[in-house]
Amino acid sequence: MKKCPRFVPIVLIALAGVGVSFAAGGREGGAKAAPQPSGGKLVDKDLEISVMLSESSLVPVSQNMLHFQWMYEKTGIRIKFLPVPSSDYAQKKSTLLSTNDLPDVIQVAQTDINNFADTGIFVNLAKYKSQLPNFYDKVAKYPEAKFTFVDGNPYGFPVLNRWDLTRGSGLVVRSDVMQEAGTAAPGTFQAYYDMLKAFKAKYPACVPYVNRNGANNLMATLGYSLGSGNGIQFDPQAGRFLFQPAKPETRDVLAYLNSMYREKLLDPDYVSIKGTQWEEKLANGSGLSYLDNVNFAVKHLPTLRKKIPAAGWDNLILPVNQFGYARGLYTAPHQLDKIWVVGAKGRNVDAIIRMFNWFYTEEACDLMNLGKEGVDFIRKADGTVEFTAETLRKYSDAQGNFVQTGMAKDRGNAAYESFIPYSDVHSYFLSINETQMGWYKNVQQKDKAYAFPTPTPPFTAKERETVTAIQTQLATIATEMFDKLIMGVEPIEAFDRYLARFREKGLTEFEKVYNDAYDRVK
Amino acid sequence: MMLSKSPAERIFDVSNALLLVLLGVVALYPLYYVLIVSVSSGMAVARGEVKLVPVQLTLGPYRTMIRDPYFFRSFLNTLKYTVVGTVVNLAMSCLCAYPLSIRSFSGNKAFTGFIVFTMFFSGGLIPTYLVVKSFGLLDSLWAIVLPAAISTWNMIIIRTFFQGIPQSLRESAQIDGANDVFIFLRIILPLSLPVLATMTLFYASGHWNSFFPELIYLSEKSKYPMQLILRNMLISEQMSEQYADILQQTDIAPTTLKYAAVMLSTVPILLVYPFLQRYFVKGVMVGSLKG
Repeated sequence: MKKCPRFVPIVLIALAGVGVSFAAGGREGGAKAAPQPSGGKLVDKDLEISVMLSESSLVPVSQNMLHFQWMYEKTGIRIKFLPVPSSDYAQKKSTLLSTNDLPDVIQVAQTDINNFADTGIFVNLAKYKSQLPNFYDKVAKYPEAKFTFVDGNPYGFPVLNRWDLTRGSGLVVRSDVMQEAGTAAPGTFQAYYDMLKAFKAKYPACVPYVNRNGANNLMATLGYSLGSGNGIQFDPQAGRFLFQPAKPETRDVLAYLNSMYREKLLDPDYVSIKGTQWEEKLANGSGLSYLDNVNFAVKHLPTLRKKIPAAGWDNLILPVNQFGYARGLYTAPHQLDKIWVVGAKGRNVDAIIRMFNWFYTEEACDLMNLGKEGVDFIRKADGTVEFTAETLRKYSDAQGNFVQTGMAKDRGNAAYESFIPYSDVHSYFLSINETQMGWYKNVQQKDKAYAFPTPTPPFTAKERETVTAIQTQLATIATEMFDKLIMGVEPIEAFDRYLARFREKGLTEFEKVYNDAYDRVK
Repeated sequence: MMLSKSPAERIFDVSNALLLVLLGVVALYPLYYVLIVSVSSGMAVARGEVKLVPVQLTLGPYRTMIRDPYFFRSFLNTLKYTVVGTVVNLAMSCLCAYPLSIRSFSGNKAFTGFIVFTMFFSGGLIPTYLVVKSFGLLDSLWAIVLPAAISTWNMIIIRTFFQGIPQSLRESAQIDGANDVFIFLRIILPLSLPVLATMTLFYASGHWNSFFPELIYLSEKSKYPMQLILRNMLISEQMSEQYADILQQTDIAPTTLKYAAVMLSTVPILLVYPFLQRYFVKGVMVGSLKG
């Protein structure tokens, strides 16, 4: 009798060998070495630079986006996009960072810079300071950019906005319901509470306040305006960073939300409702008020009006809370958590540095965000810009409405979703309607309650360890506390017990680290 | 002559039937719901009016998805990974299972022990990535196919099936002068169609639904499978929050598009099941009865 079929290992090895040879044959070679520039371009010979970025399903990235073709004509540098679906970007990025298998340029967050800067896998830009005059000019102009530095050194290029529209989350209420319930715009959150009660009395089947994505979002939006919040934030009233759930005011804020929950003014399903169900409530008329992105009210109004023709929404001035002040947050003026880093192992570092220095010029900002002056946009005497009628027509639908996503896909000029380190997002606001623009300009920009958020300060290596060790523990306790106290599973007096747990897990040290780091850069 | 059923038995039968119908509805309704949302008007879906039948029937979302070059390309990629991956899986699994099914094979237990060990312990993501990279497999089909060429669990099921084939068949073939290649190809495999059909289904559905190895090992978008695109469509809405400022109001709500994509990605693999159904039960039972 035969003992062993000997062909098995041979076949296995042969198959693996075929696979390896196929795979090796299918790979593309690395980027070419960058020659010195001359003749107006950034490189003498055409150069391809690979860029890995997070891709939104809303605005897919393609290799032939118009503005990047113009960039190639101008600089001689062609961008090879390596888009990764945003849903899984963190996992892919983490794998590449851990294995130091980076493309030429990769999009990272501040945490990644903090965690990996001292490993040497990113280029330390301080060594190229003389070759980056435009970048350093912008850092001087927008000092917040220094918040992305580690130990005083820049390791990446943050997305800085030359122009953005000042706007934030807003308190929106159904104007038709306010009228029918005979209520006026509330000046205080107590009056707001009474208004929601009046809504409930008149429309028992409706939900006076709707929220999405659970207690953390509720506390970050309504909770913040009430005087507390979610996570550690710079507190304008205290003038320093505070872990908002541990503020003494949080007890009263949670008591307020608990009352809303008990009286069914707050959505009974607020814990489990995600964005889609929340939007459904805005569209079918069952949600009457919320504090969040005002766009969703406007977006679903046509759908709502098919059911309730008189329906409308109003963006209200933020009411004063029970501690005597009103507060809200604008959208951050720069995208400091979207940072482009250069892999230290790359062969074209000099050319990449020149490319980034070019990106931070006004000329590049115009070209990459707006297009060609006189053709795509015109700059008026007061410095404001307008897209030409022809450009707008090119991206309009059959009804003549401008479709911003169409422009973004074709041109790649949506800075939030593309590879544009110095941005001007005029194009974002071409498609929003007058009501929404009116809310931004006439309500939010004039509301003194709003402030720009303070970015997370840069930490030292020791501070980073402390933050990493404590942050998750505090967040876990906070989430548990929010739900139990808002839903009344535990009495509001239990707040003191949670406060003790926060302190036990290192609350004081956590806040001190943030404030020490902030003091160094403020 | 049939015995008439007692009233208690009839009540039991009726209750049983009702319960099973109810379970069937619970299992099928989500799929049906996805179907009716995908062919309904976006506005009706946004208002939550679609419950049992489509409202304002439209095939717009399907047209949009089919015309989307990325979705179509990713569909072809998925097809390629599924076909090549399944063929490699079956070949490797059978080649591994056959010697292990021969009880007289010296070192059988030791090899089996080594192989089973991998069911409980793996190298982890980073070491595996480094191995794939060092072999030069990154960004190729083989990075998807080779690291997962054998599922230990499935290989053991195949081995168990092979062991169920009478040993005397193999011995008589050897007396007639057949070698192991002949026995494997001409006797064992033709007698193993039920388990091969079952494994085809297991491996194929695994490849069809797979997204993680593709995410990690592939860099170029043109090579992405459909599940990666679909996953991004379904769960990335909160990541585009800053972009929500400029979302357009169109007839096709994102929800209907997502559900159309779900249907397009689910139906092809569902269609495979009926063709393999007659082998399926027998093949699965083998793994559960012996081993």
